[in-house]
Amino acid sequence: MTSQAMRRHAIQFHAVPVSLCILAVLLSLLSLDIEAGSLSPAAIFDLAAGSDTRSLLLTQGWIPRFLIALVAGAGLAVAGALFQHTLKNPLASPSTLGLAGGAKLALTLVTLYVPGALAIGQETIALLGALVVGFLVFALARRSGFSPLIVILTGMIIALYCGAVTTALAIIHHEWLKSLFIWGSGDLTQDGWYILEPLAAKVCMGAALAVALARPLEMLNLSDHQATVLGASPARMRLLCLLIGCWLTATIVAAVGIIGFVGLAGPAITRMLGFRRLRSKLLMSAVFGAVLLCAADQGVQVLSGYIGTLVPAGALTGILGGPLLIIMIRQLRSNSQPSQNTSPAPEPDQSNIRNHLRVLAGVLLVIIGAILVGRDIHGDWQLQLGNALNTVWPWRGPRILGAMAAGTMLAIAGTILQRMTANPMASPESLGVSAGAVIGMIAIVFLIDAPTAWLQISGAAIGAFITLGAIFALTRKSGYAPERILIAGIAIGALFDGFIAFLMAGGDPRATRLLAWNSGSTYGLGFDRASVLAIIAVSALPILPAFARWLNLFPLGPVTTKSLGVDLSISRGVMLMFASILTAAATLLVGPLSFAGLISPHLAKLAGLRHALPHTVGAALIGAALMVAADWLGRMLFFPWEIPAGLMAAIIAGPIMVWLLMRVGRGAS
Amino acid sequence: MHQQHQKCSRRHFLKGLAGLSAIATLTPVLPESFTRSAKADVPKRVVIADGALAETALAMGIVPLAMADVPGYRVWVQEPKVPEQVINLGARFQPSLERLAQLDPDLILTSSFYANQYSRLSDLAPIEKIDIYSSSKTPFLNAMAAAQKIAEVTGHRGTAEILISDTLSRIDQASRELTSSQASSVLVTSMLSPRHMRVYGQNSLMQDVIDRLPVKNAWTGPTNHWGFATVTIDQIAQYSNAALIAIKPVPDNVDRAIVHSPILSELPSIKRFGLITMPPVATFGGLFAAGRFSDLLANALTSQGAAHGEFAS
Repeated sequence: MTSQAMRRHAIQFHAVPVSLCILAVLLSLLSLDIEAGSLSPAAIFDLAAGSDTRSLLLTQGWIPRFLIALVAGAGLAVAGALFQHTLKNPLASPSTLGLAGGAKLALTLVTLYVPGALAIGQETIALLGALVVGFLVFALARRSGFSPLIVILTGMIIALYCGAVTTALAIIHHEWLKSLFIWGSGDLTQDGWYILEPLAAKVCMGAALAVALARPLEMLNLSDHQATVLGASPARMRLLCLLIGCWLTATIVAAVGIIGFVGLAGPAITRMLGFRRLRSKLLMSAVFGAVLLCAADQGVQVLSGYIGTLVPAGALTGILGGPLLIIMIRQLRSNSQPSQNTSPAPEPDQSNIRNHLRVLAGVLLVIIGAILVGRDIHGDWQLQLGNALNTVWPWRGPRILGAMAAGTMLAIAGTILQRMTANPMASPESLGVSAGAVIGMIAIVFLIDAPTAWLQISGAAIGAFITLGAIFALTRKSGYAPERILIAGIAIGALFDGFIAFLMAGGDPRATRLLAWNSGSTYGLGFDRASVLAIIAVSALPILPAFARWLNLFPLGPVTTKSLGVDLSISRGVMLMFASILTAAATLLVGPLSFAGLISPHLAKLAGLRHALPHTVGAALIGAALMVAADWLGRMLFFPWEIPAGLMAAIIAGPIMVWLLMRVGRGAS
Repeated sequence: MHQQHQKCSRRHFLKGLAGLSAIATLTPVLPESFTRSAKADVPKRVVIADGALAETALAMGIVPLAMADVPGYRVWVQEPKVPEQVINLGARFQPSLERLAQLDPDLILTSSFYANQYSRLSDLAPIEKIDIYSSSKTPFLNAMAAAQKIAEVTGHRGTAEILISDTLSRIDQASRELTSSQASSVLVTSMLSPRHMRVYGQNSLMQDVIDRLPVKNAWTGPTNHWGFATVTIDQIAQYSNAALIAIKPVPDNVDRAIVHSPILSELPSIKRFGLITMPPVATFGGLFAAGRFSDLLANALTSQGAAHGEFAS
């Protein structure tokens, strides 16, 4: 690289932080001008010294809000820098590790079921939630040696799970959780200094601790072996580092709500500037985190004045976080390949027919049960045959058929993705196509007063295919490298979450319906649409043998696959397209069903199906049964309230998945 | 358990699953007959999926067979009371279709907002779409039309006129009482936190009622399709003359903040009137809610308690 090019590079890298600082100052001045009515220092001092409402709004509203943005931004960025350092992972942050989601779930549960416990403090409850999620993510990821991608995917999936449970609760108790949605959206409005003061003290303490420990923590940059030789205890160091990060995150989340991606962006900007030592990285991250959140929040204040509705800072940073992740994907070196720890379990013992029959009976029971068991008019359980079945069949039948088809398609897509990326955490949800479809549908719901179902579906189809195109465009250069596609998917999902947080905070009644749809509802499905879905699902099956060879080779890793004569770009592109179409079709009709595509391939493997073709077909059948069971439970458990099938599947599959992950990890270590 | 799974033969397992899915795919063809009892001229089995319509019907003495979100109604709307025998349909935006089918209704009342979500409902029973919150006209006029429409389609002619005249006289009564109100303007809110609230304005039923009373709604800012805006404390702080009214339930932390929060406790309107709380009333309600709101508003602004900042419900 010539020196000129290098200089240009440096200017480019400096442009981002410099323009960010200028933006923050300009927006702050603008919002101060709006607040105080003038920018002359004398006038502002006069106002601040007064005691009327406008003075109060300045001294007890604007100023603490300005400061709390700096404190929260700095704290989140320090937490992010600590996580990134400890996990040697440029994508780690409070939001990508699922900590904020854990805190929110804990608060939701307490608000609904033990409101008395709120007296011990939101913060303590949020901290407990964040810590539980934190330990879960780290326990699961440790088994893969903290591989960057596995950590992020585990975190994201735990976050999805927490989100799914929170959503299920929100659908039933929507009115009760209004206040919680406001908190969750991360609005920084202040009414005094009583939140800021304790928060500032705690964040300073955490940051000071981190900076003081920076020297010993530097050891974590070495390999564990080197560090041990030098007399350090990397495991203890790492734990300490993560604990400080979790504590900072929980404190800030409890005080101001969920503010996504500041903890990711602060350290990222610092890295751009080329700081190497941990102490300066921590300090600079704090500075940029503070400036970033300040700019976002001041911008939101100016913006709210024009829009006339509440725009929470947390929702804005969430929405900006998506594009940021996409930019960072391009910088992520492609050698951060996930460790291939999908080591085969021991070959199954094929002699036991009785066990085989038991599984068969189980699956049979699921489908027959879903057809015949229901609730009568008084809500009592009933075996429904003859007339009783006839009455409900036009409403129940299509849902069972639709759930089977959707489960099949998602499971096929999931198996293909997992084999293709050699990553046990890959799933159609992480493709981002689901989120794209949902964004398309939201647009239709908000543009048209009372849209018909078919209009909504068209919106979703357009959204899905735009997303698909974007993901292809973004990852084409890297030959559709699997980890980049997955992260692009996460980024689009993050964008979507920010949008939903904004809607929920505004209290728009349409948001609840979107929540239900987004959690995978088979509600109102007719045989017409269910049959279309079933036809797509069935027609996907004959195509599978064409992929069998690729899918058998891909788990061996890209180098081996290539040396065996497979064109990586073409094969990946084709399979990705196939998986995306299946995902989009399932999403269009029954919403982005979470986890069916993730867990079915694992269960099929558990049933002893190893080769590509039987594995895929087995996963498809298990996926179908899983979705049928989830749909039935969703309809019947809280009858007449309904939990969307996708959400129910996520709730069933979550614990199984954690168990599976631990099992996979143990096999690898 | 997973040990057992592993022991099954893959082929048998697959065969079993394939057979099962075949059975389940074929079953749609089997029971398809769909009988319905003969319809009488006057619908007897009415189900209502929309909250405001259910409230209007109950106020006219029309008890539906079933309605959506009964527990929510009992907490957030309260009046008119839902009789015990009314069956719950579940969420308003997703009433349980199986329960609906079992109930075999002969008329479904709902708003187009919900109706378009489940167009297949028309297979079940005739649907009457009645809109109170729509882009045409204002909620109060729509609510009157809705009451007449409900009375007409359920064969209870005359009841709507009673409800309408009753509502108008309640509003007149409130109007007379409010001439002695200390506050000349009000901010009607649902408090979400010490710093956030929904404030009701243009497009809301409350706005229409206040327009008929000798008080003003201080909130003239933009509102959404349902007539409210989610705002923060600083946006309402400037309305120092308006009495701040919070529709119950009010979150616990707001009560604490009234005393501790520097902004909330120092607001001129809080200092003057306190935070005036009002028993629950349907915030997206129908005609009955309009009358109830005017009653409660008059009570809140003129009762002894208002001066002390607390109105006992």
